[in-house]
Amino acid sequence: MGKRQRIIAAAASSSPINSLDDGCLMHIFSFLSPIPDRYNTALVCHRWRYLACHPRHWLRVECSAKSLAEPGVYSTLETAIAAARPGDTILISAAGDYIAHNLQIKKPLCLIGGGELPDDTILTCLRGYESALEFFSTCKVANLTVRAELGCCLLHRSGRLTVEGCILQCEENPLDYLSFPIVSTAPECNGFTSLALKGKCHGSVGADCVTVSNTRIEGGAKAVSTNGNLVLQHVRAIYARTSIFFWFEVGET
Amino acid sequence: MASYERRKVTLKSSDGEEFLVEEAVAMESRMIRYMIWDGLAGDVIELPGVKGKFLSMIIDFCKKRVAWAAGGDGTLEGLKSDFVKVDLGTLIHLSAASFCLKTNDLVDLTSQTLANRIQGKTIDEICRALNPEE
Repeated sequence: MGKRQRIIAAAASSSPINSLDDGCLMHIFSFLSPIPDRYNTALVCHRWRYLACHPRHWLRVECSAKSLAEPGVYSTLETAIAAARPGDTILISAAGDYIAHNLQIKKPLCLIGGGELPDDTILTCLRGYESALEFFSTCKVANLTVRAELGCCLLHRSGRLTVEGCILQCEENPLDYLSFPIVSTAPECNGFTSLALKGKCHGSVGADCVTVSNTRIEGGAKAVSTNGNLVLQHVRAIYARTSIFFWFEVGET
Repeated sequence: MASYERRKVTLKSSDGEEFLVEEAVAMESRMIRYMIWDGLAGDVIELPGVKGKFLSMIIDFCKKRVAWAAGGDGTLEGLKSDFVKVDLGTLIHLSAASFCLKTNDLVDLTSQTLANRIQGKTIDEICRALNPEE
């Protein structure tokens, strides 16, 4: 723990809120949204990290054998996704190399990297697979690096995908039709969208779109390929010394 | 309708304060409710986990809630927001007391209020917000 971390932890320990027992604090944390609030509380001190990261709140993917004995901890992202309920958050721990091959995500989930920087948590997709992660549902991906050797990093089929603070890496000089960091095949939402806004809609109808913010994109023929009807828009880019940070949206015009 | 004597029960806090309340009010606390239903409660129920000061605030809320449910004035939202208009230290003690007594309404209310103080803040801000000296 760095010096700043220790000061924060000491301040937290002396706070009267720490006199509450585990059940109380966990209940309070359950009212917080996973990102950024519950994630921030997990960074305050060890006790809060244990409570905020309790399996009741998150599923964890870790490599170390010791933690695999705890409930709610899985050794691969695939098993965690299979075990997750809709709306769950999966925290992928920083120390470890994870494989992601054509992982289909058909329920709303939130995938977060557990390190301080997105560079700390890496999902790798080896050549021979179409994509690392394939999204059929509204999901959020944050603080992760997704590296695809030949295929694409994120394949968006439907739902609202949010990519925040990530790093997407593809082949440096790929064959044009093969390697894109983000591919969206989602059809454009038709006139139902306006009905949904007025609250008259039945069932779940929402606009399919991809929202990217503060994300580094490296390699690949283009940053995004849209094979459906969605369109790249609202692009902002910041050119850093060795990489480019992007903010953009892929949605209907 | 014939009036009848409503059963009263005494709640005793950890620091010895005693409060005489109607059974209906005391039963807002699930812990006390189950004790009474299981026949484990005498005339005096001891609550070693709760101090008198906070117990009286909770009893006050329960009385108002029972009165409101019986067709009184005001709104439940108003009652709840008045309850949490306290300083941070008191709020934390009320939260602990609500957990102890299992008054579910108050548990969720105090937890939500404390969560609101954490929401949207950076780590440093969280620490500052949760330290009442500042």
